[in-house]
Amino acid sequence: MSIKILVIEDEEAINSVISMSLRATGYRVTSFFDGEAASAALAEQHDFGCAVVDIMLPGKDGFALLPELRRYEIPVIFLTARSDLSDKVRGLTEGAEDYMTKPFEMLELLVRIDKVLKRNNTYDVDIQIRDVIIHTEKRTVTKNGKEIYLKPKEFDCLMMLVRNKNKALTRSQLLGALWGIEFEGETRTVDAHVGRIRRKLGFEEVIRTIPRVGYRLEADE
Amino acid sequence: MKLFHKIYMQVFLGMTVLAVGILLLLYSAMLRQSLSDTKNYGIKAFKNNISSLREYVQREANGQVEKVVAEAVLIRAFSDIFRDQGVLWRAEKEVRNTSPYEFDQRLLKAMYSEAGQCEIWVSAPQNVGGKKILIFFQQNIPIGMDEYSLAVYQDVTDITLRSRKILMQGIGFCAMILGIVGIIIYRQIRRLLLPLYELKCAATRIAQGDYNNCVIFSEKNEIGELTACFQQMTIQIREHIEAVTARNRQQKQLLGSLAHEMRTPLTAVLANADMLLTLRLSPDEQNKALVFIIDEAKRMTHLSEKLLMLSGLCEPNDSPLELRELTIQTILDRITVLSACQLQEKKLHLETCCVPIDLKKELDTDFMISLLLNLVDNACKASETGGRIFIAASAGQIVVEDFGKGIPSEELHRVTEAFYMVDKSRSRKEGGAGLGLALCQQIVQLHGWKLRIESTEGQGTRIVILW
Repeated sequence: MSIKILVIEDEEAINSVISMSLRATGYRVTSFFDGEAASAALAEQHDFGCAVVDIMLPGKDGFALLPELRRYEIPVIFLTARSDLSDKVRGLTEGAEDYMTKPFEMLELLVRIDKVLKRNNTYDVDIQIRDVIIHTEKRTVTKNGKEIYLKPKEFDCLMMLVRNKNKALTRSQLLGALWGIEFEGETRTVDAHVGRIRRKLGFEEVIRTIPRVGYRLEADE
Repeated sequence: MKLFHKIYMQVFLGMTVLAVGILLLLYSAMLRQSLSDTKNYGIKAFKNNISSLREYVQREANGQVEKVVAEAVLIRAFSDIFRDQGVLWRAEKEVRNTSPYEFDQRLLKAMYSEAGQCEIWVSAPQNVGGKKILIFFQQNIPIGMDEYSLAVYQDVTDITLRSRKILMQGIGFCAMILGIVGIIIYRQIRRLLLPLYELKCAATRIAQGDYNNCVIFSEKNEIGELTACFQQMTIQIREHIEAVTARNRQQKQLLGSLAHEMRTPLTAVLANADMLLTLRLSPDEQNKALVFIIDEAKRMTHLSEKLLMLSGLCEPNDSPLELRELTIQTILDRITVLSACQLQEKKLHLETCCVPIDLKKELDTDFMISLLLNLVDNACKASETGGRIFIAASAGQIVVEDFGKGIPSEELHRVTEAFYMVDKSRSRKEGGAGLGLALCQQIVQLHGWKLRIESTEGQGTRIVILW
């Protein structure tokens, strides 16, 4: 996944987190702290798969940047601390793909970026990790050319870990996303599934158990 | 309604009672007077008639020896004089009764003796056969040779009837007058009490939250005064409610702003902590994240402290100002010491001067220091490296001046708004929250001073406090 993401956020602490999280997941990130600089850079280079933009920027704000980004056909996800309905409506009607209010969880941002990229077909169809290739459209997995059968839920679990590469996911996050259940009692299911995936694909070293947190699929690009 | 009815009933009843009382009084007085007149006249007539009778008998029957003849003369004379109104007795015997009634002499004699010393006894009006009569009686009247008793009656029915008729006419007249006056008084009292209804309506409206109506009533009586006071009260209530509502709104706004301002640093803390937990990071990256967390948490602390101070200052009644008379120079020295560190970072020069040198002012030390530190802090942030900052104090004002960025004229009127920042990103980087000037404004106001801001973009800013 060598998709390029553009991040424009003036708060250094937040800019840093978003950039690092996205890089860990495998995206390439270019970040800016103000609208003017971003604008200038866009003129030269605009092959971004998605842009994450804070509305309240010094100088050129998010809304002012929107037309430019649309011109280069870069889908935009707005970030803001304001939750005014009027802002949301304005943002979405003027052409933003999505709108997220602070504070937000990084996972949510990653999922939305995912969805945006999928919508715009900027998706990698085949993902390779070590000797395993995951065919996302056919929903099959091959290891060294040989097809390994994964049950639907196992495949989904694998996909989630892959899409959030290098980021630890908690059991409840996996549970909520895949099964829609929230309470602790059922997290054994997650453990069972992850165990089976590891065995079938030989991913014992790839999918790591992070103590007190969850599971993390580790792979370098 | 009840008061009105009570007042009206009492007035009306009073008038009626008065009228009836007067009428009855007049009636009885008139009646008595008539009867008295009749009585006196009757007594006179009685006397005259008796005299006439005696004279006649004297003349005519003097020579008569025969008793019977003498009596016949007497009787004839009696009939002539007393017509059909008299009764004559000699001793126990009734001699002649020309009246249509029967008289009991013994009763009359008894009454006569009871009455005591009087020549002629007159009875009270007696009811006989539907008529009223007065009876005149005298006994032991010497006529001729014997003594006689004589009773005469006088019909006074007419008098009574006439009086009664006049009474009835009077009552009728009074009733009519009372009717008219009653209506007039009804209207008048109602008119006087009308303002009370209006006051009641006005009070109801106020109870329901409508403070805008005006009760106008210009008469200069007790009710007018009450209305005027009520007006005053309404105005005071409205002002008070407006003040309270405004302060409420202000507090809500501050609260909202705080929540809003907290969002960004919270996001930073949350996101960095999450990242530390879930991502593989190099020690360098880890440290970077941790530094961010600490910085943003500090920022939040700073913010809530400032806000606490600000909201505390907003309550005028709880204002904790401890006023003391202090030498301004001491304060300026303190400021110089306290801000030394910050000044050093940007190599800024702070110059203070105080004219006259021993200038004293009454103020709250801590708040004053806070105020000046805030202003110096702003000046520092606005100034370039190596710049200068002045503080000049005099009897009428104290000025903090810098030669830094300045404030754009279109934003000048908003800088004292809580959380307002001209350049958000830069202010945030330097740890600002947009509350400094709002706080200064509050402190200035609490002391009863005035704050003025003069600034030219690119040249500098002067903060003037008129005290």
